Amino acid sequence: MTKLRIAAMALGCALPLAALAADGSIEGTVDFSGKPPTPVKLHREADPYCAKKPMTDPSVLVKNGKLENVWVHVSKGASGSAKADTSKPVEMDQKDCMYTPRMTTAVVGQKIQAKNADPVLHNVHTYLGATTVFNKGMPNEKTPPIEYVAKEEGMMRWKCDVHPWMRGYIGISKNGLQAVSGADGSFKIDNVPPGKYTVESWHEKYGTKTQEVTVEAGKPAKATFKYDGTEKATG
Amino acid sequence: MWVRRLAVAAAFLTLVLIVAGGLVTNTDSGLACPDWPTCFGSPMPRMVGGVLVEHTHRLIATAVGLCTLALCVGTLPRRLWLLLCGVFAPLLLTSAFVAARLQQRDGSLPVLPTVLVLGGFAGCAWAFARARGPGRLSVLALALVMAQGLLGGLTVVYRLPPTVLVLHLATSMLFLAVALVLAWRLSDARAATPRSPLLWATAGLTYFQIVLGAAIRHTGAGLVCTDLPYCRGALWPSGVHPSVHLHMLHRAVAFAVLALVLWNAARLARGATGVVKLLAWAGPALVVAQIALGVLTILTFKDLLPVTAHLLVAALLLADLVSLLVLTRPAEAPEPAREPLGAPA
Repeated sequence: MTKLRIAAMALGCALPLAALAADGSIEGTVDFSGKPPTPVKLHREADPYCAKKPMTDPSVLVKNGKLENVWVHVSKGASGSAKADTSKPVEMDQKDCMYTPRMTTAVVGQKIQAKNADPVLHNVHTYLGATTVFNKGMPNEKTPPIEYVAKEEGMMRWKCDVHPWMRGYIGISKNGLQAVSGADGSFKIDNVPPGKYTVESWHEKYGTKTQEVTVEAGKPAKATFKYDGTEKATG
Repeated sequence: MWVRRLAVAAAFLTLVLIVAGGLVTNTDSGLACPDWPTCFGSPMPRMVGGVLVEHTHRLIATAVGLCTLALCVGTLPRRLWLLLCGVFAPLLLTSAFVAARLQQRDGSLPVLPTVLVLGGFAGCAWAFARARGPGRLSVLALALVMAQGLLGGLTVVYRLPPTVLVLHLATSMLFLAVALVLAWRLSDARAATPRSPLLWATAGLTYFQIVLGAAIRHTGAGLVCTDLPYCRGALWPSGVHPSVHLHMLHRAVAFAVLALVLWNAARLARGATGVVKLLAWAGPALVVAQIALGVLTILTFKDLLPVTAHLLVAALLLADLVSLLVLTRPAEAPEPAREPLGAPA
Protein backbone atom coordinates (compact mmCIF):
# COMPACT_ATOMS: atom_id res chain seq x y z
CA MET A 1 0.00 0.00 0.00
CA THR A 2 2.84 2.38 1.01
CA LYS A 3 4.70 1.55 -2.21
CA LEU A 4 1.61 2.35 -4.18
CA ARG A 5 1.30 5.73 -2.46
CA ILE A 6 4.94 6.54 -3.11
CA ALA A 7 4.54 5.56 -6.75
CA ALA A 8 1.42 7.73 -7.12
CA MET A 9 3.19 10.71 -5.50
CA ALA A 10 6.21 10.26 -7.75
CA LEU A 11 3.96 10.12 -10.77
CA GLY A 12 2.10 13.22 -9.58
CA CYS A 13 5.38 15.14 -9.35
CA ALA A 14 6.85 13.75 -12.50
CA LEU A 15 3.92 14.53 -14.80
CA PRO A 16 4.03 18.35 -14.48
CA LEU A 17 7.82 18.28 -14.71
CA ALA A 18 7.57 16.17 -17.83
CA ALA A 19 5.04 18.60 -19.25
CA LEU A 20 7.40 21.51 -18.54
CA ALA A 21 10.33 19.68 -20.00
CA ALA A 22 8.25 19.04 -23.10
CA ASP A 23 7.74 22.74 -23.72
CA GLY A 24 9.95 24.41 -26.23
CA SER A 25 10.77 28.05 -26.87
CA ILE A 26 10.80 30.56 -29.67
CA GLU A 27 13.93 32.62 -30.01
CA GLY A 28 15.53 34.77 -32.58
CA THR A 29 16.39 38.30 -33.54
CA VAL A 30 14.82 41.35 -35.11
CA ASP A 31 17.02 42.49 -37.99
CA PHE A 32 17.09 45.95 -39.50
CA SER A 33 18.59 46.20 -42.96
CA GLY A 34 17.78 49.81 -43.91
CA LYS A 35 19.53 53.00 -42.97
CA PRO A 36 18.53 53.75 -39.40
CA PRO A 37 17.20 57.27 -38.90
CA THR A 38 19.57 59.67 -37.19
CA PRO A 39 18.29 60.17 -33.65
CA VAL A 40 16.87 63.67 -33.48
CA LYS A 41 16.92 65.87 -30.42
CA LEU A 42 13.67 65.86 -28.49
CA HIS A 43 12.30 69.36 -28.00
CA ARG A 44 11.57 69.33 -24.29
CA GLU A 45 12.17 73.04 -23.69
CA ALA A 46 8.51 73.77 -22.87
CA ASP A 47 9.03 72.33 -19.38
CA PRO A 48 12.11 73.69 -17.57
CA TYR A 49 12.47 70.51 -15.48
CA CYS A 50 12.47 68.24 -18.54
CA ALA A 51 14.71 70.61 -20.47
CA LYS A 52 17.52 70.11 -17.92
CA LYS A 53 18.34 66.74 -19.43
CA PRO A 54 18.75 66.80 -23.22
CA MET A 55 17.52 63.62 -24.90
CA THR A 56 17.18 62.18 -28.36
CA ASP A 57 14.18 60.39 -29.83
CA PRO A 58 14.38 56.75 -28.72
CA SER A 59 11.62 55.47 -31.00
CA VAL A 60 14.04 53.66 -33.35
CA LEU A 61 17.03 52.02 -31.66
CA VAL A 62 19.26 50.11 -34.06
CA LYS A 63 22.66 48.65 -33.18
CA ASN A 64 24.68 46.48 -35.54
CA GLY A 65 21.65 45.93 -37.73
CA LYS A 66 19.44 44.77 -34.85
CA LEU A 67 16.25 46.53 -33.80
CA GLU A 68 15.39 47.08 -30.14
CA ASN A 69 11.97 47.42 -28.51
CA VAL A 70 10.01 45.14 -30.80
CA TRP A 71 7.11 43.30 -29.18
CA VAL A 72 7.18 39.67 -30.34
CA HIS A 73 4.21 37.55 -29.36
CA VAL A 74 2.30 34.42 -30.30
CA SER A 75 -0.85 35.76 -31.95
CA LYS A 76 -2.43 32.51 -33.14
CA GLY A 77 -2.24 28.85 -32.24
CA ALA A 78 -1.85 29.10 -28.46
CA SER A 79 -4.44 28.17 -25.91
CA GLY A 80 -5.78 31.18 -24.02
CA SER A 81 -4.23 30.44 -20.65
CA ALA A 82 -1.01 32.11 -19.55
CA LYS A 83 1.82 30.21 -17.91
CA ALA A 84 3.72 33.37 -17.08
CA ASP A 85 3.88 34.58 -13.49
CA THR A 86 1.31 37.35 -13.25
CA SER A 87 1.48 37.93 -9.50
CA LYS A 88 3.99 40.75 -9.88
CA PRO A 89 2.62 44.00 -11.30
CA VAL A 90 4.08 45.45 -14.46
CA GLU A 91 5.56 48.87 -13.76
CA MET A 92 5.64 51.84 -16.07
CA ASP A 93 7.57 54.69 -14.52
CA GLN A 94 7.84 58.31 -15.59
CA LYS A 95 11.41 59.35 -15.06
CA ASP A 96 13.23 62.36 -16.52
CA CYS A 97 10.05 63.05 -18.47
CA MET A 98 10.22 59.75 -20.32
CA TYR A 99 8.29 56.51 -19.92
CA THR A 100 10.57 53.83 -18.50
CA PRO A 101 10.72 51.19 -19.87
CA ARG A 102 9.66 52.36 -23.30
CA MET A 103 8.21 48.97 -24.07
CA THR A 104 7.24 46.06 -21.88
CA THR A 105 4.65 43.29 -21.71
CA ALA A 106 1.73 42.24 -19.53
CA VAL A 107 -0.81 39.45 -19.48
CA VAL A 108 -4.60 39.85 -19.36
CA GLY A 109 -5.54 39.87 -15.67
CA GLN A 110 -2.16 41.22 -14.59
CA LYS A 111 -1.88 44.43 -12.62
CA ILE A 112 -0.20 47.40 -14.29
CA GLN A 113 1.19 50.23 -12.17
CA ALA A 114 1.94 53.73 -13.42
CA LYS A 115 4.44 55.64 -11.31
CA ASN A 116 5.85 59.14 -11.39
CA ALA A 117 9.43 59.67 -10.28
CA ASP A 118 9.46 63.29 -11.47
CA PRO A 119 8.62 66.36 -9.37
CA VAL A 120 6.39 67.62 -12.21
CA LEU A 121 2.86 66.86 -13.40
CA HIS A 122 2.41 64.10 -15.94
CA ASN A 123 -0.94 62.89 -17.17
CA VAL A 124 -1.06 59.23 -18.04
CA HIS A 125 -3.25 58.88 -21.11
CA THR A 126 -3.47 55.29 -22.27
CA TYR A 127 -5.12 53.89 -25.36
CA LEU A 128 -6.07 50.49 -26.73
CA GLY A 129 -6.67 51.12 -30.41
CA ALA A 130 -8.70 54.33 -30.62
CA THR A 131 -10.21 53.93 -27.16
CA THR A 132 -8.91 55.67 -24.07
CA VAL A 133 -8.24 53.14 -21.29
CA PHE A 134 -7.63 55.76 -18.61
CA ASN A 135 -6.48 59.36 -18.45
CA LYS A 136 -5.29 60.50 -15.04
CA GLY A 137 -2.97 63.16 -13.71
CA MET A 138 0.03 62.45 -11.50
CA PRO A 139 1.08 65.82 -10.04
CA ASN A 140 4.53 64.85 -8.69
CA GLU A 141 6.75 62.10 -7.30
CA LYS A 142 4.61 61.84 -4.15
CA THR A 143 1.55 60.76 -6.12
CA PRO A 144 0.54 57.17 -5.32
CA PRO A 145 0.77 54.81 -8.32
CA ILE A 146 -2.19 54.40 -10.64
CA GLU A 147 -3.22 50.76 -10.77
CA TYR A 148 -5.00 49.08 -13.63
CA VAL A 149 -5.73 45.44 -14.34
CA ALA A 150 -5.21 44.49 -17.99
CA LYS A 151 -8.56 43.42 -19.41
CA GLU A 152 -7.99 43.09 -23.13
CA GLU A 153 -5.13 41.98 -25.29
CA GLY A 154 -3.49 44.37 -27.71
CA MET A 155 -0.96 47.17 -27.71
CA MET A 156 -1.58 49.61 -24.87
CA ARG A 157 -0.13 52.97 -25.88
CA TRP A 158 0.90 55.46 -23.22
CA LYS A 159 1.00 59.20 -23.75
CA CYS A 160 1.52 62.25 -21.63
CA ASP A 161 -0.39 65.20 -23.08
CA VAL A 162 1.60 67.64 -20.94
CA HIS A 163 4.84 66.39 -22.51
CA PRO A 164 3.86 65.22 -26.01
CA TRP A 165 7.19 63.49 -26.71
CA MET A 166 6.54 60.96 -23.93
CA ARG A 167 5.48 57.59 -25.32
CA GLY A 168 5.35 54.15 -23.74
CA TYR A 169 4.03 50.78 -24.87
CA ILE A 170 2.78 47.67 -23.09
CA GLY A 171 2.03 44.65 -25.24
CA ILE A 172 -0.78 42.72 -23.57
CA SER A 173 -1.49 39.10 -24.47
CA LYS A 174 -3.82 36.44 -23.14
CA ASN A 175 -1.38 33.57 -23.47
CA GLY A 176 1.70 35.29 -22.06
CA LEU A 177 3.84 33.94 -24.90
CA GLN A 178 5.67 37.17 -25.63
CA ALA A 179 8.94 39.05 -25.32
CA VAL A 180 10.51 42.39 -26.20
CA SER A 181 13.68 42.52 -28.29
CA GLY A 182 16.71 43.75 -26.40
CA ALA A 183 19.52 46.08 -27.45
CA ASP A 184 21.06 43.23 -29.48
CA GLY A 185 17.71 42.64 -31.22
CA SER A 186 17.31 39.23 -29.60
CA PHE A 187 14.20 37.83 -27.97
CA LYS A 188 13.21 34.57 -26.35
CA ILE A 189 9.74 33.28 -25.56
CA ASP A 190 9.88 30.43 -23.04
CA ASN A 191 7.38 27.74 -22.07
CA VAL A 192 5.88 27.32 -25.52
CA PRO A 193 4.04 24.00 -25.86
CA PRO A 194 4.82 22.04 -29.03
CA GLY A 195 2.69 23.10 -31.96
CA LYS A 196 2.31 25.44 -34.87
CA TYR A 197 2.00 29.14 -34.13
CA THR A 198 1.69 32.48 -35.81
CA VAL A 199 4.20 34.80 -34.24
CA GLU A 200 3.80 38.53 -34.69
CA SER A 201 6.31 41.32 -34.22
CA TRP A 202 5.29 44.94 -33.68
CA HIS A 203 7.40 48.07 -33.68
CA GLU A 204 6.06 51.53 -32.87
CA LYS A 205 7.36 53.06 -36.12
CA TYR A 206 7.52 50.10 -38.46
CA GLY A 207 4.44 48.11 -37.51
CA THR A 208 3.67 44.44 -37.77
CA LYS A 209 5.28 41.38 -39.35
CA THR A 210 4.15 37.79 -38.95
CA GLN A 211 5.79 34.39 -39.19
CA GLU A 212 4.65 30.80 -38.93
CA VAL A 213 6.74 28.88 -36.38
CA THR A 214 6.67 25.20 -35.44
CA VAL A 215 7.82 24.39 -31.92
CA GLU A 216 9.04 20.89 -31.09
CA ALA A 217 9.12 19.45 -27.59
CA GLY A 218 12.09 20.68 -25.58
CA LYS A 219 13.68 22.47 -28.51
CA PRO A 220 14.07 26.14 -29.35
CA ALA A 221 12.36 27.20 -32.59
CA LYS A 222 14.03 29.97 -34.53
CA ALA A 223 12.31 33.10 -35.82
CA THR A 224 13.88 36.12 -37.45
CA PHE A 225 11.93 39.26 -38.20
CA LYS A 226 13.33 41.58 -40.83
CA TYR A 227 12.59 45.29 -41.12
CA ASP A 228 14.15 47.60 -43.69
CA GLY A 229 12.82 50.96 -42.51
CA THR A 230 10.28 51.43 -45.31
CA GLU A 231 7.46 49.92 -43.25
CA LYS A 232 4.89 52.12 -41.59
CA ALA A 233 3.06 51.45 -38.38
CA THR A 234 -0.61 52.24 -38.13
CA GLY A 235 -2.39 54.00 -35.32
CA MET B 1 -34.86 74.66 -54.57
CA TRP B 2 -32.81 71.43 -54.56
CA VAL B 3 -29.60 73.47 -54.82
CA ARG B 4 -30.46 75.46 -51.70
CA ARG B 5 -31.30 72.27 -49.79
CA LEU B 6 -28.08 70.73 -51.01
CA ALA B 7 -26.09 73.75 -49.83
CA VAL B 8 -27.69 73.47 -46.38
CA ALA B 9 -26.93 69.74 -46.34
CA ALA B 10 -23.32 70.42 -47.37
CA ALA B 11 -22.89 72.96 -44.54
CA PHE B 12 -24.39 70.55 -42.00
CA LEU B 13 -22.30 67.66 -43.30
CA THR B 14 -19.21 69.86 -42.98
CA LEU B 15 -19.93 70.34 -39.29
CA VAL B 16 -20.18 66.55 -38.93
CA LEU B 17 -16.95 66.22 -40.89
CA ILE B 18 -15.15 68.70 -38.62
CA VAL B 19 -16.24 66.75 -35.54
CA ALA B 20 -15.17 63.49 -37.20
CA GLY B 21 -11.79 65.10 -37.94
CA GLY B 22 -11.52 66.13 -34.29
CA LEU B 23 -12.21 62.53 -33.28
CA VAL B 24 -9.41 61.34 -35.58
CA THR B 25 -6.93 63.57 -33.72
CA ASN B 26 -8.37 63.03 -30.27
CA THR B 27 -8.40 59.25 -30.54
CA ASP B 28 -4.90 59.23 -32.04
CA SER B 29 -6.26 57.54 -35.18
CA GLY B 30 -4.59 59.77 -37.78
CA LEU B 31 -2.31 57.00 -38.99
CA ALA B 32 -4.71 54.10 -38.55
CA CYS B 33 -4.80 53.88 -42.35
CA PRO B 34 -1.19 53.77 -43.55
CA ASP B 35 -2.01 54.77 -47.13
CA TRP B 36 -4.09 57.40 -48.90
CA PRO B 37 -6.61 57.68 -50.53
CA THR B 38 -7.21 53.96 -49.96
CA CYS B 39 -6.91 52.35 -46.53
CA PHE B 40 -4.79 49.18 -46.53
CA GLY B 41 -5.16 49.28 -50.31
CA SER B 42 -8.94 49.10 -50.13
CA PRO B 43 -11.67 51.72 -50.57
CA MET B 44 -13.62 49.97 -47.80
CA PRO B 45 -11.31 48.36 -45.23
CA ARG B 46 -12.39 46.39 -42.16
CA MET B 47 -13.89 49.12 -40.01
CA VAL B 48 -12.45 48.50 -36.55
CA GLY B 49 -10.67 50.66 -33.96
CA GLY B 50 -8.74 53.58 -35.38
CA VAL B 51 -9.55 52.52 -38.96
CA LEU B 52 -13.25 53.02 -38.21
CA VAL B 53 -12.58 56.58 -37.00
CA GLU B 54 -10.15 57.57 -39.76
CA HIS B 55 -11.96 55.95 -42.67
CA THR B 56 -15.37 57.26 -41.56
CA HIS B 57 -13.80 60.73 -41.68
CA ARG B 58 -12.64 60.05 -45.24
CA LEU B 59 -16.06 58.75 -46.28
CA ILE B 60 -17.85 61.82 -44.89
CA ALA B 61 -15.27 63.99 -46.68
CA THR B 62 -16.08 62.16 -49.92
CA ALA B 63 -19.79 62.87 -49.38
CA VAL B 64 -19.01 66.58 -48.82
CA GLY B 65 -16.92 66.58 -52.01
CA LEU B 66 -19.75 65.04 -54.02
CA CYS B 67 -22.22 67.57 -52.59
CA THR B 68 -19.87 70.36 -53.69
CA LEU B 69 -19.61 68.97 -57.21
CA ALA B 70 -23.41 68.85 -57.35
CA LEU B 71 -23.55 72.45 -56.13
CA CYS B 72 -21.30 73.45 -59.03
CA VAL B 73 -23.67 71.69 -61.42
CA GLY B 74 -26.63 73.49 -59.87
CA THR B 75 -25.19 76.98 -59.77
CA LEU B 76 -22.90 77.32 -62.80
CA PRO B 77 -23.54 77.71 -66.52
CA ARG B 78 -23.27 74.37 -68.32
CA ARG B 79 -19.95 75.09 -70.04
CA LEU B 80 -18.29 76.00 -66.77
CA TRP B 81 -19.53 73.06 -64.72
CA LEU B 82 -18.72 70.64 -67.52
CA LEU B 83 -15.15 71.96 -67.56
CA LEU B 84 -14.90 71.96 -63.77
CA CYS B 85 -16.49 68.58 -63.05
CA GLY B 86 -15.36 66.89 -66.26
CA VAL B 87 -11.80 68.19 -66.66
CA PHE B 88 -10.27 70.26 -63.84
CA ALA B 89 -11.51 68.31 -60.81
CA PRO B 90 -10.81 64.82 -62.28
CA LEU B 91 -7.38 66.01 -63.50
CA LEU B 92 -6.55 67.39 -60.07
CA LEU B 93 -7.80 64.40 -58.10
CA THR B 94 -6.37 61.72 -60.39
CA SER B 95 -2.98 63.46 -60.40
CA ALA B 96 -3.09 63.74 -56.60
CA PHE B 97 -3.88 60.04 -56.22
CA VAL B 98 -1.05 59.12 -58.60
CA ALA B 99 1.32 61.48 -56.75
CA ALA B 100 0.39 59.91 -53.40
CA ARG B 101 0.88 56.38 -54.74
CA LEU B 102 4.30 57.23 -56.18
CA GLN B 103 5.32 59.10 -53.04
CA GLN B 104 4.39 56.13 -50.88
CA ARG B 105 6.43 53.83 -53.14
CA ASP B 106 9.51 55.99 -53.77
CA GLY B 107 9.53 58.37 -50.81
CA SER B 108 9.55 61.62 -52.79
CA LEU B 109 6.78 63.63 -54.38
CA PRO B 110 6.78 63.14 -58.21
CA VAL B 111 7.04 66.32 -60.28
CA LEU B 112 4.60 65.72 -63.15
CA PRO B 113 1.52 64.70 -61.13
CA THR B 114 2.22 67.54 -58.70
CA VAL B 115 2.33 70.04 -61.58
CA LEU B 116 -0.93 68.58 -62.90
CA VAL B 117 -2.51 69.08 -59.46
CA LEU B 118 -1.51 72.73 -59.65
CA GLY B 119 -2.91 72.79 -63.20
CA GLY B 120 -6.25 71.58 -61.80
CA PHE B 121 -6.23 74.44 -59.30
CA ALA B 122 -5.36 76.90 -62.07
CA GLY B 123 -8.43 75.62 -63.91
CA CYS B 124 -10.54 76.29 -60.80
CA ALA B 125 -9.10 79.81 -60.62
CA TRP B 126 -10.02 80.33 -64.29
CA ALA B 127 -13.59 79.14 -63.63
CA PHE B 128 -13.78 81.29 -60.50
CA ALA B 129 -12.90 84.40 -62.50
CA ARG B 130 -15.67 83.64 -65.01
CA ALA B 131 -18.40 82.64 -62.57
CA ARG B 132 -20.78 85.04 -60.84
CA GLY B 133 -22.87 85.05 -57.65
CA PRO B 134 -23.57 81.63 -56.06
CA GLY B 135 -21.72 79.91 -58.91
CA ARG B 136 -18.54 81.71 -57.91
CA LEU B 137 -18.99 80.51 -54.33
CA SER B 138 -19.48 76.94 -55.59
CA VAL B 139 -16.18 77.08 -57.50
CA LEU B 140 -14.45 78.42 -54.40
CA ALA B 141 -16.02 75.64 -52.32
CA LEU B 142 -14.88 73.03 -54.84
CA ALA B 143 -11.30 74.36 -54.84
CA LEU B 144 -11.32 74.40 -51.03
CA VAL B 145 -12.75 70.90 -50.66
CA MET B 146 -10.16 69.53 -53.07
CA ALA B 147 -7.36 71.39 -51.30
CA GLN B 148 -8.71 70.00 -48.06
CA GLY B 149 -8.65 66.46 -49.45
CA LEU B 150 -5.06 66.90 -50.56
CA LEU B 151 -4.05 68.28 -47.17
CA GLY B 152 -5.72 65.25 -45.59
CA GLY B 153 -3.65 63.06 -47.90
CA LEU B 154 -0.46 64.91 -46.99
CA THR B 155 -1.12 64.35 -43.27
CA VAL B 156 -1.03 60.60 -43.94
CA VAL B 157 1.76 60.58 -46.52
CA TYR B 158 4.06 62.74 -44.36
CA ARG B 159 3.01 61.18 -41.01
CA LEU B 160 1.06 64.02 -39.39
CA PRO B 161 3.27 67.12 -39.81
CA PRO B 162 1.88 69.87 -37.51
CA THR B 163 1.90 72.59 -40.22
CA VAL B 164 -0.25 70.48 -42.56
CA LEU B 165 -2.57 69.54 -39.70
CA VAL B 166 -3.11 73.20 -38.82
CA LEU B 167 -3.73 74.07 -42.49
CA HIS B 168 -6.17 71.15 -42.71
CA LEU B 169 -8.25 72.59 -39.85
CA ALA B 170 -7.95 76.16 -41.18
CA THR B 171 -9.20 75.06 -44.62
CA SER B 172 -12.08 73.07 -43.12
CA MET B 173 -13.32 76.18 -41.33
CA LEU B 174 -13.00 78.26 -44.51
CA PHE B 175 -14.99 75.65 -46.38
CA LEU B 176 -17.68 75.67 -43.68
CA ALA B 177 -17.90 79.45 -44.00
CA VAL B 178 -18.20 79.30 -47.82
CA ALA B 179 -20.81 76.51 -47.68
CA LEU B 180 -22.86 78.58 -45.23
CA VAL B 181 -22.61 81.75 -47.30
CA LEU B 182 -23.74 79.77 -50.31
CA ALA B 183 -26.69 78.26 -48.40
CA TRP B 184 -27.84 81.68 -47.15
CA ARG B 185 -27.30 83.35 -50.53
CA LEU B 186 -29.33 80.67 -52.31
CA SER B 187 -32.19 81.17 -49.87
CA ASP B 188 -31.96 84.90 -50.63
CA ALA B 189 -32.45 85.66 -46.95
CA ARG B 190 -31.56 89.18 -45.86
CA ALA B 191 -32.47 91.02 -42.68
CA ALA B 192 -33.38 94.68 -42.47
CA THR B 193 -31.06 95.03 -39.48
CA PRO B 194 -27.92 97.04 -40.28
CA ARG B 195 -24.65 95.20 -39.92
CA SER B 196 -22.70 95.81 -36.76
CA PRO B 197 -19.47 97.69 -37.69
CA LEU B 198 -17.23 95.21 -35.86
CA LEU B 199 -18.87 92.03 -37.17
CA TRP B 200 -16.20 91.41 -39.79
CA ALA B 201 -13.45 91.95 -37.21
CA THR B 202 -15.21 89.56 -34.82
CA ALA B 203 -15.50 86.84 -37.45
CA GLY B 204 -11.85 87.40 -38.45
CA LEU B 205 -10.63 87.22 -34.88
CA THR B 206 -12.71 84.10 -34.26
CA TYR B 207 -11.15 82.45 -37.29
CA PHE B 208 -7.68 83.46 -36.07
CA GLN B 209 -8.53 82.03 -32.64
CA ILE B 210 -9.60 78.73 -34.22
CA VAL B 211 -6.35 78.48 -36.19
CA LEU B 212 -4.45 79.36 -33.02
CA GLY B 213 -6.30 76.56 -31.24
CA ALA B 214 -5.30 74.16 -34.01
CA ALA B 215 -1.67 75.26 -33.67
CA ILE B 216 -1.84 74.59 -29.93
CA ARG B 217 -3.48 71.20 -30.49
CA HIS B 218 -0.99 70.02 -33.06
CA THR B 219 2.18 71.33 -31.43
CA GLY B 220 1.28 69.77 -28.10
CA ALA B 221 0.89 73.10 -26.32
CA GLY B 222 -2.57 72.34 -24.93
CA LEU B 223 -1.30 71.43 -21.50
CA VAL B 224 1.83 73.57 -21.19
CA CYS B 225 -0.13 75.52 -18.56
CA THR B 226 -2.11 73.25 -16.30
CA ASP B 227 -3.02 75.76 -13.63
CA LEU B 228 -6.03 78.05 -13.99
CA PRO B 229 -6.57 80.96 -14.31
CA TYR B 230 -2.82 81.47 -13.98
CA CYS B 231 -0.06 79.81 -15.94
CA ARG B 232 2.86 78.53 -13.90
CA GLY B 233 1.82 80.84 -11.09
CA ALA B 234 1.74 84.06 -13.16
CA LEU B 235 -0.90 85.85 -15.17
CA TRP B 236 1.42 85.64 -18.19
CA PRO B 237 4.75 84.01 -17.34
CA SER B 238 7.93 85.47 -18.76
CA GLY B 239 11.12 83.77 -19.91
CA VAL B 240 9.22 80.68 -20.97
CA HIS B 241 9.09 78.54 -24.10
CA PRO B 242 7.18 80.04 -27.11
CA SER B 243 4.53 77.30 -26.79
CA VAL B 244 3.55 78.79 -23.40
CA HIS B 245 3.06 82.21 -25.05
CA LEU B 246 0.99 80.54 -27.78
CA HIS B 247 -1.19 78.94 -25.13
CA MET B 248 -1.59 82.21 -23.22
CA LEU B 249 -2.40 84.09 -26.42
CA HIS B 250 -5.24 81.62 -27.04
CA ARG B 251 -6.60 82.30 -23.56
CA ALA B 252 -6.32 86.08 -24.02
CA VAL B 253 -7.92 86.09 -27.47
CA ALA B 254 -10.84 84.10 -26.04
CA PHE B 255 -11.74 87.09 -23.87
CA ALA B 256 -11.27 89.52 -26.75
CA VAL B 257 -13.69 87.38 -28.82
CA LEU B 258 -16.15 87.34 -25.92
CA ALA B 259 -16.02 91.14 -25.63
CA LEU B 260 -16.53 91.61 -29.38
CA VAL B 261 -19.31 89.05 -29.62
CA LEU B 262 -21.12 90.67 -26.68
CA TRP B 263 -20.76 94.10 -28.27
CA ASN B 264 -22.11 92.80 -31.58
CA ALA B 265 -24.99 91.03 -29.87
CA ALA B 266 -25.99 94.21 -28.05
CA ARG B 267 -25.81 96.22 -31.31
CA LEU B 268 -27.60 93.70 -33.50
CA ALA B 269 -30.28 92.66 -31.05
CA ARG B 270 -31.41 96.27 -30.64
CA GLY B 271 -33.37 96.40 -33.86
CA ALA B 272 -33.34 92.77 -34.94
CA THR B 273 -36.05 90.16 -34.89
CA GLY B 274 -36.29 86.46 -35.66
CA VAL B 275 -33.21 84.61 -36.86
CA VAL B 276 -30.83 87.58 -36.58
CA LYS B 277 -31.79 88.19 -32.97
CA LEU B 278 -31.41 84.51 -32.19
CA LEU B 279 -28.02 84.31 -33.90
CA ALA B 280 -26.88 87.55 -32.25
CA TRP B 281 -27.51 86.19 -28.75
CA ALA B 282 -26.32 82.69 -29.60
CA GLY B 283 -22.82 84.17 -30.09
CA PRO B 284 -22.10 85.12 -26.45
CA ALA B 285 -23.69 81.86 -25.23
CA LEU B 286 -21.39 79.90 -27.54
CA VAL B 287 -18.29 81.83 -26.42
CA VAL B 288 -19.10 81.26 -22.74
CA ALA B 289 -19.65 77.55 -23.43
CA GLN B 290 -16.41 77.52 -25.41
CA ILE B 291 -14.41 79.07 -22.56
CA ALA B 292 -15.92 76.54 -20.13
CA LEU B 293 -14.95 73.72 -22.51
CA GLY B 294 -11.43 75.13 -22.77
CA VAL B 295 -11.14 75.04 -18.98
CA LEU B 296 -12.53 71.49 -18.94
CA THR B 297 -10.05 70.48 -21.62
CA ILE B 298 -7.23 71.38 -19.25
CA LEU B 299 -8.86 69.99 -16.11
CA THR B 300 -9.60 66.63 -17.76
CA PHE B 301 -6.18 66.41 -19.46
CA LYS B 302 -7.68 66.70 -22.92
CA ASP B 303 -10.34 64.06 -22.50
CA LEU B 304 -12.21 63.08 -25.64
CA LEU B 305 -15.55 64.73 -24.88
CA PRO B 306 -14.47 68.27 -23.88
CA VAL B 307 -11.78 68.47 -26.58
CA THR B 308 -14.16 67.36 -29.33
CA ALA B 309 -16.95 69.60 -28.03
CA HIS B 310 -14.43 72.51 -27.93
CA LEU B 311 -13.89 72.03 -31.67
CA LEU B 312 -17.60 71.71 -32.44
CA VAL B 313 -18.51 74.88 -30.53
CA ALA B 314 -15.69 76.74 -32.29
CA ALA B 315 -17.18 75.72 -35.65
CA LEU B 316 -20.68 76.67 -34.47
CA LEU B 317 -19.45 80.10 -33.37
CA LEU B 318 -17.83 80.73 -36.73
CA ALA B 319 -21.01 79.52 -38.46
CA ASP B 320 -23.04 81.89 -36.28
CA LEU B 321 -20.89 84.90 -37.16
CA VAL B 322 -20.73 84.06 -40.86
CA SER B 323 -24.52 83.69 -40.94
CA LEU B 324 -24.89 87.09 -39.31
CA LEU B 325 -22.51 88.61 -41.85
CA VAL B 326 -24.56 87.23 -44.74
CA LEU B 327 -27.94 88.10 -43.28
CA THR B 328 -27.01 91.68 -42.49
CA ARG B 329 -25.23 92.34 -45.78
CA PRO B 330 -26.09 95.61 -47.48
CA ALA B 331 -28.23 95.54 -50.62
CA GLU B 332 -26.18 94.79 -53.75
CA ALA B 333 -25.94 97.05 -56.77
CA PRO B 334 -27.16 95.34 -59.96
CA GLU B 335 -24.35 93.54 -61.82
CA PRO B 336 -23.21 94.82 -65.21
CA ALA B 337 -24.49 92.70 -68.10
CA ARG B 338 -22.01 90.02 -69.25
CA GLU B 339 -21.81 87.90 -72.30
CA PRO B 340 -23.40 84.54 -71.44
CA LEU B 341 -21.05 81.52 -71.31
CA GLY B 342 -23.74 78.96 -71.95
CA ALA B 343 -27.19 77.93 -70.93
CA PRO B 344 -27.59 77.60 -67.16
CA ALA B 345 -28.22 74.09 -65.83
